[in-house]
Amino acid sequence: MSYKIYSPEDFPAYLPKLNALYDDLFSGGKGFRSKLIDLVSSPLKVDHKTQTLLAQTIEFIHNASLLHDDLVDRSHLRRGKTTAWLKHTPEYAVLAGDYLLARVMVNLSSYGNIKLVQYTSEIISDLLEGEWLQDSVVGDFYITLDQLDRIHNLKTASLFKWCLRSPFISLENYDKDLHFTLNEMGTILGQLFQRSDDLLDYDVRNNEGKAVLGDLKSGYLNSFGSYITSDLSRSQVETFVKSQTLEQVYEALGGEPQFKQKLESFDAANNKLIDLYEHHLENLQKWLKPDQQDLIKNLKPLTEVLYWRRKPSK
Amino acid sequence: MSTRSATRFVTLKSSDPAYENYLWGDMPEVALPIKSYNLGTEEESVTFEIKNKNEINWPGWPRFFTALIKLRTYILVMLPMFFILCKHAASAEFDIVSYVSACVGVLLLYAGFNIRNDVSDHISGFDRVNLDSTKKPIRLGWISARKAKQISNFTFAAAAIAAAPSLLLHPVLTIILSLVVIFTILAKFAKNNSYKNQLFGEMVLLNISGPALMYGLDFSAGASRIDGETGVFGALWGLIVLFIIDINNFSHIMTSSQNRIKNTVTKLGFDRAQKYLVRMWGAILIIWAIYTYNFQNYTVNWVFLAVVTAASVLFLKNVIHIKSPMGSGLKSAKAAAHKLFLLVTFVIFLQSLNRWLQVI
Repeated sequence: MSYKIYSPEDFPAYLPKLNALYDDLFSGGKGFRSKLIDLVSSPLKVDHKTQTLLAQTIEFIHNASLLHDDLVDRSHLRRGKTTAWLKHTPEYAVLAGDYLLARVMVNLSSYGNIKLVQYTSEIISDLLEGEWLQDSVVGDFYITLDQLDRIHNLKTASLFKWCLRSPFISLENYDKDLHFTLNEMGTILGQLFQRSDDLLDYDVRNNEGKAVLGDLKSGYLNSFGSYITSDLSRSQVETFVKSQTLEQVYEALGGEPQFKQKLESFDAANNKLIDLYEHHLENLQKWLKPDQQDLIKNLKPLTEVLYWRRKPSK
Repeated sequence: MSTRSATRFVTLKSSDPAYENYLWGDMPEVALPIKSYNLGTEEESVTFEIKNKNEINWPGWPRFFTALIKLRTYILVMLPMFFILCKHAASAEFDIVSYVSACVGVLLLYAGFNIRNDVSDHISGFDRVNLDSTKKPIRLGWISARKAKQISNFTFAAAAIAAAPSLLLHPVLTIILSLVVIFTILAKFAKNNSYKNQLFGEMVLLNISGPALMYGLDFSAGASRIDGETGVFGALWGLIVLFIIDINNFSHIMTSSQNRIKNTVTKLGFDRAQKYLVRMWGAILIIWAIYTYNFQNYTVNWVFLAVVTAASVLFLKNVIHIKSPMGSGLKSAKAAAHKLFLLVTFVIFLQSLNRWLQVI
């Protein structure tokens, strides 16, 4: 199912450059989060209008965070195009992000489900906390994986949790145990997605050709970087963070075999997370009606897609 | 293609009949609660990772024992013991039997206190939500919460037996011990959380680890009256212990706040807590100066105090420059605080030793 996430009619035409900015922003992107909404909503038989609202909401929130993120990080490119703050002005980028979040609140409050409004506000709050914290640790090359996980749980996983929970909330299903399970599943999906994205920075399973060592060069030690440097001395970490090429990274770790060994260990730790996800998925069946069981089939392959970056094996 | 065996998990609600068994470890297999990142929610379910006993990495008895009783923190009770020993050693009133009895009792009581604290952190979920770099035996599956509690009960009983001669020889100690027990129980049950993590609990901890401990040891050593020096030093030492706890709480400020744990640091918030820690250490140095002026007014002691003050400046700058509640700055500040604490204890050790050497 495709959703018209963005329409120029959603935003006032009398505000200069606003629609041009959104045209650029919404024309790229994989729309993964709205696809996740579809995967959850369809087996639950959420009506099309509500599904569209949920998909639009999550894409608005996600893209608002991208607008702010790009300015905070001073990034020059987003989805192959010049970032909004650079193409227009930093002020417009901030305000355009804020406007998307405001639009979310307008749309959801018109929909009328107060619990959905409440939950969405909490998620936006978590997202902003995560961004604030992420900015506070730029240049910190001794941050632990546990600390980064907590930041990512706010910044990345919060949107995955929303995608899993909001369709149930829209159907007024507020069962605590169900939402506990969905929360845990969303956390794991967010962690796996972030860790997989961080591996791309070290050219691991980098099929999309993402620029290598971009995070490190920007002064940010990502989750994989934190993991592989956790047992290094301060002077070794200092050498590692100055790396400009992968060869220098391998050298800083003691050679490519050392790098591969640490990658294996990282993958093993994430396999454990995948096992935990499967456990929660099995528990989820308890709260689904017989005609909703397709949800399990839809959610099962996600770990393979998100972490291993491959089409699910049949 | 190699196949790996999947990790086993069980999720239970707190109302499930099996929940207590899993949490307390009353099972043939080992059930380890999974860390939670979803904080501040009404937590009614816990997920456990299930392992066979032979899957647990046994560290060996010495490492297990030292981790269980937190041997590296024993300096918190042993330095006051050394202080009192040096104060009384050359005195004709020194009651060595009573003193040794009291010391053994305190050492056993402290072990029980540390073990029970870990049990409490495990059962309350504090361990599941907070960052921690220390090796906790229950969380690692080295011992079940049930067995740990039984060991702590044994050490409490052993402490009572060991300290009995001291209590009989100096009945005033019974009053001090009774007050300690009453306030400890009040602090513990006020919010069903560990002592470290409540405002009232912090005050109780300051008094137990400071004046109560000092006066208890002083009377057990043969002191016949309430001594001003013991009281001031007790206040100083209690404040130093509380400072270490507050630094530790500051290193968890974000996760504790999200989980609605109330202590001085979470109530103040990040920015004000930084200033509070700096001022607290400043107050410690001032009290130490007052103590030195009134009771140990020798040049060498002022030199020692000057060295600690100089070392403090660097540490306090470290604290003020922490930028994030989630970065490595917190860990560095905590490590620096512990180093400063070791310097302080070394200085107090030298001062006490100097005092003893002067009278023998």
